[in-house]
Amino acid sequence: MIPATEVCFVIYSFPATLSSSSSQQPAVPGLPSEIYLAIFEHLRSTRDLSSIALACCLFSRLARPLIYRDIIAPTTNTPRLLSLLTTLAADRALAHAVRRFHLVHGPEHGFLTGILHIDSEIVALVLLAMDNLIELEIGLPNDVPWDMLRMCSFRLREFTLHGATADAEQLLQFLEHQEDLIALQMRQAELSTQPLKPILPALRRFVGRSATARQIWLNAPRFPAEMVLTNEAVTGTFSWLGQVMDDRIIEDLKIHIAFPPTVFRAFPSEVSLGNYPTSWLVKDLPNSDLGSFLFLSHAAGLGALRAVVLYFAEYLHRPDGHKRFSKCDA
Amino acid sequence: MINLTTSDNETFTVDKKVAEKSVLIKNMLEDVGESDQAIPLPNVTASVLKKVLEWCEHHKDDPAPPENEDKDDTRKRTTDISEWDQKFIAVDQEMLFEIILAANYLDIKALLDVGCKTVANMIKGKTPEEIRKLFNIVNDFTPEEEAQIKKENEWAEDR
Repeated sequence: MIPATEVCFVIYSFPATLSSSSSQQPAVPGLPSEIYLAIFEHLRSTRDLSSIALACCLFSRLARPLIYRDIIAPTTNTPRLLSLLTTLAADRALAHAVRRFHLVHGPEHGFLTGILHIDSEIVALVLLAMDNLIELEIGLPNDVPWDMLRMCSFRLREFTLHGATADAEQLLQFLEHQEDLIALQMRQAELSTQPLKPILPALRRFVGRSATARQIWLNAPRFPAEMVLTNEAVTGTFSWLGQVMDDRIIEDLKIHIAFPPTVFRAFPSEVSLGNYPTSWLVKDLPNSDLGSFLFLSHAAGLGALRAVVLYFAEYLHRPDGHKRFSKCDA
Repeated sequence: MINLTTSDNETFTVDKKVAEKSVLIKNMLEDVGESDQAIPLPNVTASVLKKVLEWCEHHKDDPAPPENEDKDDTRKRTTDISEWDQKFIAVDQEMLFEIILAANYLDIKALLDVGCKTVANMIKGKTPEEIRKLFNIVNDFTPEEEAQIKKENEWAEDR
C-alpha cells in the first residue's frame, strides 16, 4: 500500500516543476489559435507574415492564407510568377483565401527583357479558383481569357483592366455579371455598338474614356459619385453629361476631366489661372445649369487647362422644371 | 453596482456601466438579473482584472463599435493605437498576454484589438527566430518543411 503522503507529493510536485522550468524562460502564457490569428491579421507586410510562417508549424498554418490575401504578382520575375500561379492553381483553399489579385504584365510594363509571356490558361485556372476575390487588376501581354473569366464565381468590388481588349462584347458580358462592382477602371473605347441595357448598379467610381462612361450611365439606375474621364474632347463630354443628368437626383458627384492638349492648342493662354496653373477651380456655376457650363469648351484662354473637377454635392430636378446645383466645388 | 470575484478570490465592486463593457458580463446580467451575488470570473486573476477594469472605466462612454465592420477592407486596418491605450498597454509581456486572454474571455472586443495590435507591432521586422523567442515557441519544422515554406514564399519576398 502506498502511503497517502507519497501520492500527494507526486501530484503536487507536478505543477511545481512546470513553474520552476518556466521561470528560467520568459513567463509568457500560450495563446489560443484564434488569438494568434487575430494578431497576425493586423500585419500587412508579406515579409512579416513570411517570417511568422517560418516560426513553427502552427504559425505556418495560421499565416499561410494571410500571405496570399493580397497578391501583387511578381511579373518581372517569370520563375517566381509561375511558381506562385502553380501553387495557387494546386491549392483550392489557398486560392479561396485571396481577396485582392494584381497581375499586371502588359505593354505598360514594357515587356521587360527576360519575361516570357504567361500562359493565359494557368491565369484563367487560378482566377476560377479564387472564388472569394473582391479586387482584380489585370493586364496581360495577350488578351485576357474572357471566356474563362466569365465563368468565375467571384463578385468583384474593384476591377482594373489594362490595355484595351479586342473583343469588347466579351468584356461587356463579364461586366454584366459583376453587380457588386463599385470601382471600374479601363481604357476600353466603347463596349458595344448597340445601346446597352442597365449594368453595374453599384458602380460609384469610374476611370476611363468618356464614350464608355456615357454608355454605362445613360441608363444606369444610379449616378456614380466620381468619374475621371480621359482622352475625350470636352464638348462631347458636356453634352452627354447634361443628357445623363436630366431628371436625376445627384449627390456628391465629382467629375475629373483631363483635357488633351490638342483640344486647346488653338486657344492662347490668356486667362490668368492664379495659383492653379493647370486646373481651374469652379466655385459657382454662373447660371445654375449644366448647359451654361458648355461655354467652357468655347472659352478662350484654356490652353493651360489640364483638368477640371466638377463637384456637385446636390443636384435637384425641381418640379418647376428648373435644374439647380446647390453646391459646386472644384 | 456589480461585484466581480476573481480566480484568486478577490472581489471588485464596479459600476454596472463599466462592467458591461464585457459582453460576457452584460449577457450574464441580462440572463440572471441583477443580484447582490458576486459574478465569479474563474479565468481572471485580481492583478489582471484590475488592469482590465482600468481600461473599461476609461472607455465606459465610448460609443458601441459598428456591428457590420467591414473586415474585407484590410487596407483601412492599421496598427495605430490611441495615446491613452498605448500608455495603458505598456506593460511587461506576460501581463500583455494575460490582458489579451482576459479580454478574449470577457469578450471585450476593443481591448482585445488593442492587445492584438500591440503584439502585431512587436512582430514587425522580426526574424522567425526572434518571433519564436517572443512567443516562447520552438521550431518544430523538419529542414525539408522549412525549405519548402521558404521556397513557396519567395514571390512575396520584396514586400
